Amino acid sequence: MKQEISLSILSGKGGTGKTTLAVNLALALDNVQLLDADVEEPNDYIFISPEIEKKEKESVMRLIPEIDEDKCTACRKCVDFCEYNALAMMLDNVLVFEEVCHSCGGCKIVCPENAITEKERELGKLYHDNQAKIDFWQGELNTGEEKAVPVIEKLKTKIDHSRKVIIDSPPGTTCPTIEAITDTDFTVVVTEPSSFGLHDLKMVVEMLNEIRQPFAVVINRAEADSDYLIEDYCQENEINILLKIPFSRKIAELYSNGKPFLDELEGWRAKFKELYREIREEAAKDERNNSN
Amino acid sequence: MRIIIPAVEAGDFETEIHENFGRADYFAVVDSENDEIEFIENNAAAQSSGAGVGAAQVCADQKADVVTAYHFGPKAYKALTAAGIEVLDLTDQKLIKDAYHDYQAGKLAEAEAGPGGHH
Repeated sequence: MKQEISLSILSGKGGTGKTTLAVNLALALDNVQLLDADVEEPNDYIFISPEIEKKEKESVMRLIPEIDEDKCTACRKCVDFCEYNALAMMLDNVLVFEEVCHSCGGCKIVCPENAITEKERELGKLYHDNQAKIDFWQGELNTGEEKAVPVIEKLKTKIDHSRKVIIDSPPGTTCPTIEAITDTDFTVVVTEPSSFGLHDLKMVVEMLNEIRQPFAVVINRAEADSDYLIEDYCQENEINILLKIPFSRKIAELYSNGKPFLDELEGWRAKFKELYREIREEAAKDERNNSN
Repeated sequence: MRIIIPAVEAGDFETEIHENFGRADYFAVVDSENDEIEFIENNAAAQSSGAGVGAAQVCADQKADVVTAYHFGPKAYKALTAAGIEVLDLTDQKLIKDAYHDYQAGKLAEAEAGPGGHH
């Protein structure tokens, strides 16, 4: 079967337009797989599958230590070993802070008394809704949990390369973002023409260059008198701007009602199709450069 | 009684209180028997995660009876109370001596766990 490309959509900060782009682009194409990896606040479902809670779901589990107090001699080796302060020794009892545990299993290995076993804890969930044109997956981190990466790792096991893969990544430049974009063929960075937008774009560009990820930019809420903020920077740094989504009351209103705009504003379905064609070209260009 | 107060540097009673518990650079340890003060480094301050728990561990290892700060995250609060340490809130005190005097005067209220740090 023909292999399609995988695309990740990213922004430096939340509220920039990742969801807008991911959802409208996905709806403009056929044979798409959309994965919402913004697991701390996934919201693609509002536009794609509002009843996602009632669809197929599976748990993402992880292991955390459990201390057998009868066997524990309070030697403290586990507490000293834990790099993340998930364990503390208080009045000769080991306290476990499950939320900060990275599930490395090291404490169990260093315990000389075999007083540590591991138990499973639900970290998050994956939701799935296979529709006619879109195979939609959503990762969701349970409230109060801090470790998004394992949920994204599990979500990525669902990638189907026979489809046009679009991953809506968590915003920013931290581990969950990097996990979401790693192994994708190309990244689109969404930004807005403001000082904040530019600042956060620079952070993202630095991170993408560091991990040698090919990318281009889409400007959201574009306005003629402020786009230069992003355009000047992109020109200086030889970054392609693939599309501008205008600052429009109509788009904002549709968004706030949970409606994609591609068929509400004339010509936009075609523009998103064209955007995808360009992305595919850019990704292929990078492929050629790498194989040379 | 051994009272611990987060401090911006290793100084004396005139040193400023650090605004944060888990990420304080130093802790002032005051012994109320003889009003003596010493400063210890908070080796949890620079850690990538769980600074509050690490700092609570430092306080427990120092055999603190009381810890007072402007704010405690939920994990630090849980760890300190598990160690049997009394956890008190500071309000508008500026210097270590202000915190210590208000503690002695019984003016510090029992703390509640607030929201934790950023990740």
